[in-house]
Amino acid sequence: MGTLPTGSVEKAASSREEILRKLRERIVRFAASKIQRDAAEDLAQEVLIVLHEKYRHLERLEDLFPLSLEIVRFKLMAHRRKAQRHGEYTQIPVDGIQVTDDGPDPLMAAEQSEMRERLIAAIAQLGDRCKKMMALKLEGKSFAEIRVILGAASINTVYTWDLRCRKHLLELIGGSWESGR
Amino acid sequence: MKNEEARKLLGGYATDTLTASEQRALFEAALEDQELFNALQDEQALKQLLADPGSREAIQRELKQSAETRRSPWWSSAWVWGGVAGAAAAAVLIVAMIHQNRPAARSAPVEVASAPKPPDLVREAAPEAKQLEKPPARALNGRSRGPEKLKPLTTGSLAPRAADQIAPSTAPAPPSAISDQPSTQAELREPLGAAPAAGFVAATPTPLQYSLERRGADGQYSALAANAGLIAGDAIRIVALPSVSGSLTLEQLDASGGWNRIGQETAVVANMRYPIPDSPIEVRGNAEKFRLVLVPASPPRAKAFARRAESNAAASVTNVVSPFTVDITIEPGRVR
Repeated sequence: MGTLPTGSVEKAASSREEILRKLRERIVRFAASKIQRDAAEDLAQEVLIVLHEKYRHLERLEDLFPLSLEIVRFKLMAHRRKAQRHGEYTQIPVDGIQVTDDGPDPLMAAEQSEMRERLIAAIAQLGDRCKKMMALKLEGKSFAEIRVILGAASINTVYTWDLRCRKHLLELIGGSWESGR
Repeated sequence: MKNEEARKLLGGYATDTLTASEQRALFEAALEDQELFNALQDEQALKQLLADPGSREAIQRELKQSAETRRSPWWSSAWVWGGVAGAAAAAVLIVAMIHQNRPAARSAPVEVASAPKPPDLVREAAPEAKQLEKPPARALNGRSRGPEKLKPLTTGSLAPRAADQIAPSTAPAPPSAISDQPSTQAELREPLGAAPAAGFVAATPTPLQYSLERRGADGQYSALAANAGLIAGDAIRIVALPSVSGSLTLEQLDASGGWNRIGQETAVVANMRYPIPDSPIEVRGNAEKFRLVLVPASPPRAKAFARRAESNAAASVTNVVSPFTVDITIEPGRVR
């Protein structure tokens, strides 16, 4: 990456700050719909700290946005686990606590496996066009390419088809990709 | 791009279908629209699932299978129709053959009954013949055609010799000799790992197999040969082969009907051989009953679920783990 002129650096920094500010606002509101407000504030703060400390070099929205979504998801999962571990109703003796191993988290693996099964079952109930679209998307085709393959008049038609398919799939799976969320 | 339009791109986020410009439009819209942001955040779970190559492949496989099924509906396949036609033809053939053969089989008494016999013998044989030669209704409707022809067969001229000939086919087969010869032991000497080995409940898969070993004069144990019978005084031991890990015990039935444990409980690892008990079992003159009990260790996944579940779920996990038992009767000449 070449050296940016002073003005550009300032502009980029302010742009990054602006993106992070908006992200924080969205994250707090999203998290507050899932957990308590003060915990949501803390969670958003933790996400920003991670973005600031580990991903200081990222400035573009296309990089920061998906990254923040991923961090929020992990933080929320950790929060739920922590709450369950510390909760009065789930207190267990020290002897019962298992030592963490380096392998894949069995809980996450089990959840992912469960979600995969539900998704496969739901996909089987989709209509032909939706199945075809899903297959093409998983093959890595863009919406423009899908438009050509499916013979749609415009790309907006493809967007609309995809939106409907997603909505139908979400309904079939129970309203949320993750069970019990 | 307006927020409403950007919302339509939501479905492309998890599958990485969006181009750079579509992605940017979606993210910019989501920064301004909390609902869209929430939807994208929820979509993250799906994105993470699809990022896993195994999951992605499984879903693609499902879609591919579905597409193949769709491409060739079952009624349009020539082989399906060929198969159906073949099956129908075979069914017709079988029915025709059954109809043809059944009356022929029943016609044997007709020939016997037609032999001329002295009237006194016929009278003596008549009640027996009635009992033995009562044909089922279906046979009556077959070749014999009507009661007027059957009447002389069953009540008219059936000789005692005819009854003898009929008897083997109608009377129940004599009970086969139940052997307690060493031949029954051949079942026992299935190699370890073969399923099911002798001593197991038939047709019930079990995670516990065993074989027997006899101690020789030199103190070494060797597998009991297929044709070798046990005699009183033999010293034997059981070699258990569990296919799941857990704890293994050997119990013996005492005179009062209670099971007593022999030796210590042994922690076992799946697919390893475990000779049990430490000191050999001496074959006595009478039958002795032993029982192998395998308590499987709780499955790791069940533990993982138990960790996140409520206390009642923990109870259900313990229900998953139930012991497996195999009863063995050892007596001179045989093992059951």
